[in-house]
Amino acid sequence: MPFYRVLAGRLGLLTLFLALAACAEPRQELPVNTRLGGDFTLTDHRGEAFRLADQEGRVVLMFFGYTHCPDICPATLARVSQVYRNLREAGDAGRVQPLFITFDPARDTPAHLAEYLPWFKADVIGLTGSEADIRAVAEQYGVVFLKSDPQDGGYDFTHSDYVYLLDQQGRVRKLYPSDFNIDEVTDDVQSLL
Amino acid sequence: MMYKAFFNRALARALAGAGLLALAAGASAADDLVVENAWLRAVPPVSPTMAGYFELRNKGDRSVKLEGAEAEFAGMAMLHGTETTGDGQRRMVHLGTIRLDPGDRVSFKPGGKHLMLMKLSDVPRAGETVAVCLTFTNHDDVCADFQVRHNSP
Ligand SMILES: [Cu+2]
Repeated sequence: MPFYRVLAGRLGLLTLFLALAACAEPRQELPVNTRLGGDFTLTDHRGEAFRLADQEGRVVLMFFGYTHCPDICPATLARVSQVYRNLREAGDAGRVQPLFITFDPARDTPAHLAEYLPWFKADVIGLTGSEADIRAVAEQYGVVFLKSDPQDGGYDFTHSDYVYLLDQQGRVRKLYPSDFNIDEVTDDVQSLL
Repeated sequence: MMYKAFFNRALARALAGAGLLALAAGASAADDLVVENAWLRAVPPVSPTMAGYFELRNKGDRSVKLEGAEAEFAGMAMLHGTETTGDGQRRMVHLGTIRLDPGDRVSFKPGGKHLMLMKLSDVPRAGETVAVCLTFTNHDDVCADFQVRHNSP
């Protein structure tokens, strides 16, 4: 570990020098959020088991929502997708993975997610599971959600709507509000590649 | 009321067809109520719901109460608000009537008030323009062309 730290420190300095040499502002490394996050297993939109740890080596943009939500959720999906397409244009697509976790497994089945998500053209992986499994993942990430009482139009969710940036080791490095700045997130992802 | 609403829409469509109502995309006017920047957020074709946004101005000399909306492709439409609670959570709430006194204006915009269109028989695509009618408790329907788009105009 000490050796690793020294090495990391040297690399950090090297990066700093390179950044200065390039006349760029030295970039603060994104701190690791140790309070939130962790590995989990859910079911993806192909109906297969998905384990976060299998994304090792990729930067992950992850957020929660549900497809019956017409206002914030599709807007957030569209923004995350735009970040992904920017990165794809930069040649980084294979090293970044957007994840959409539904609060609403009853309506957001793997089949429905498989029809819904490709429209965003960002290779988003949709994740669903049992209510208990989804709630457990939400808790790991500090997400609270509450299903409304069903009324004429169906039901909705009260929910927090952060977007999570996870590094190549699956650690939370930053949280964004759902109306995040696309360039900021694109830059942050690139800083972790 | 139903009949009148239907008639208004049929008329609006006929006029739009004749190009008479094509003031500008996303704009419409009764003489006293003006709808501007009307758009729907484009969503996947399998989407069960859609959100609509617009600005409504009361240029008339009496108060009106916005009550809801109707659209041919939506089995149900409601006025919704997105609220942020003290601890940063967001939720949608069903809004009752919205009163606009003379000179008042109300904005429906992303992350705030929105038209919630549900039970969609058809999901209009980005680039299309569709008629949505705002309904009032004390005024005729006001129909406007809503542009389907990915972002705010
Ligand atoms: Cu709504």
